[in-house]
Amino acid sequence: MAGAGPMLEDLPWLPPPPDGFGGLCREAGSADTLKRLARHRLSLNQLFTLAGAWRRLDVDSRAAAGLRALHVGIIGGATMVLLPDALAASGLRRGLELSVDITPFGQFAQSTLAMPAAWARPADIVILMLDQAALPWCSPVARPDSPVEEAIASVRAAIDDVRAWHQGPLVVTTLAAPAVPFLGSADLADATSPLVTRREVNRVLGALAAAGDIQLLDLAGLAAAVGGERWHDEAAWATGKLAVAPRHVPLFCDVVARLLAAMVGRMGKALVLDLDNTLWGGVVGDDGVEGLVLGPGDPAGESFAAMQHVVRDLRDRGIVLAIASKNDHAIALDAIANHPEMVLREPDFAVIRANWNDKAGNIREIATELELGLESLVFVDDNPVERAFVRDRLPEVNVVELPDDPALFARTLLWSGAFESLGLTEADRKRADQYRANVARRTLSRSTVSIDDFLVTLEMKAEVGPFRSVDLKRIAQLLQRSNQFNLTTRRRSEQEVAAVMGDPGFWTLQVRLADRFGDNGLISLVICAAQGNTWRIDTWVMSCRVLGRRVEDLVLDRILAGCKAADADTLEGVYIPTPRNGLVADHYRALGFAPADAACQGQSLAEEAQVWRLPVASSAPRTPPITVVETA
Amino acid sequence: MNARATTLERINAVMAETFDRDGLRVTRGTTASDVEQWDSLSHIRLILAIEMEFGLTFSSLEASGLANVGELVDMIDRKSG
Repeated sequence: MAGAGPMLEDLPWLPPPPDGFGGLCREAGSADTLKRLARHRLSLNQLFTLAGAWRRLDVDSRAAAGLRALHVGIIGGATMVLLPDALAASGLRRGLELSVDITPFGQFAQSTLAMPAAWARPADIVILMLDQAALPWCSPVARPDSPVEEAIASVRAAIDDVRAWHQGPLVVTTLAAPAVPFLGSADLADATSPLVTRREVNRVLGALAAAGDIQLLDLAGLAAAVGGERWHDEAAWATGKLAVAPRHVPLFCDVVARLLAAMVGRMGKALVLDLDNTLWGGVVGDDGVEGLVLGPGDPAGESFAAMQHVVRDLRDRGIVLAIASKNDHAIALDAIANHPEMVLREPDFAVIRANWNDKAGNIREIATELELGLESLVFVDDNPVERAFVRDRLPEVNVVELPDDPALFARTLLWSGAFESLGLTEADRKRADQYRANVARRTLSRSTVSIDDFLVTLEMKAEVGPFRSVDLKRIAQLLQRSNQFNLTTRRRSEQEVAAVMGDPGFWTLQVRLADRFGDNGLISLVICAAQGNTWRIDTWVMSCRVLGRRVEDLVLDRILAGCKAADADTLEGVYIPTPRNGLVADHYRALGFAPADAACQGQSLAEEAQVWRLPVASSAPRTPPITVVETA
Repeated sequence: MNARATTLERINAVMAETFDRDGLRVTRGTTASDVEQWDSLSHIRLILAIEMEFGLTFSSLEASGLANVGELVDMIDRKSG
């Protein structure tokens, strides 16, 4: 809709709901399934469907779900009938089981004087909604009849009245700026303007919150972020006297739920970050430290720097930082230490897990090292496959959805509310350092979980076939660019690739990979040289973006099929070490090859080259869960 | 939603979601009193869901005062031009 990207009311920090959401809710027999379904960007209807499904669960399932039960009473003057179900469903997203009582339209004053008659029982937390039906001078379009002092007095009186019968936590909403100007640009200079009245009331509320008397629910900030023109929906007000316009209810309820969660201590405490294309542009293992996009002079570089500034601000207010990145550890540390535009440096992170293990395992270890529960971890990664994997494996972790545009990363992370805070303490400011100091330097056994079940859900489809002329430019680019998953680092130019394609002594393979998140493009290349009954793998490269997807198994199956068709009985792999390709040092051993003596081969090889051998006849197909489409 | 689905078919899908009833079928003659779950509260959600499905906004005058589903279909078709 808006040019700046997804809008707040779309909850862009959550992934879109799965197809057939209603049916999934109705069929869900477990609290865990419904908790997972809650963590999507749900429409108002979907929130209602989810709340209904939750109510139909038996009491034991609900009690065993590990949620914090809270009974919330909302006092307002406007119509709030949409809020109980929408809020209950939004609470599931934040570890809360909310039951909600509201007050009827037009009964604000009565409802503050004593516990509302309609309420089932005393509320754990009361929310006071200051709206135009509660306090007539709050109309977004009319000038208040009473001066500022009387407006403040009426708000104080409402708070005092509630305090007389409710001693628990009390949440009070701030007042949104008026929808329309009164004088115009001079409104701030006029002591009787609606704008000044609201500012003064909000100032008083801020002071009460700072003194610990109330918690703020900042509708003024929310309305400003959404845009006053959209927030104040005169048609919705005229039609239903609704406290919150229907289209803003999902956002409003998410903001309320995150506040309530923070009030019972359920907020993010640690931020686990990916590196490549999340904190900087590019892949450091392939592009090198000097090739990273970060800092001034480039739009993407500016965006990644802004993201780092936001992350550092989070650290400064007590959020513990960690890294889970598929990278060579030394290369990742080199970039963090030595890139001149890095805002975050190694001491900012309590734990750095840069390796080739799967991220769910790494995140689990990070939680153990920090001695934090998985539910207090927030994970940020630009790669949708990694996000889906972690959501699948570790449903407790809050995985923030990110838009494609890095310029929107910081905004999305902050508006996700993952780190909602009720106010800063001195302990908050020191916490990140303490965690870093506390992390024990112990070696943990790497959890090796089978990932085939997850890979199936990716619905991967590979297009395989010999090098194609139309792809010549892309083939040469991939050969030039790949450093990490590159067995021999032979850099062939376009002309040299074309020569290979025309030479019957060579067999070539190119792989394109698509999955349910989109097309990854050309991701792997192989060149084999036939020498009698032996095939030697001259070149094997793969994009690190598809690591851990068993593409290498698929490629080996294709090579072996090629060998058999050509009556070759032996397959040889060559690994030539470079400073950057340590990732594949064990590649051939992992695929079942045995070490061979390089010297006895006819072709001259560099001294450091390692030759591996696999008998074609005895190799069973590895058949990874990838659908194969042949191209000519 | 299939772009070629008729307005009534798309309304049927929205209603099934709004009233949490798979396979709910309404016709041009259907009124709120014919559908058990169609009350003033769910009507608000219905209007919002229709606005989002068809990418349009109803005025305060349009959202109320519809006699039956047929009038809703006609109004959507008129607004979608």
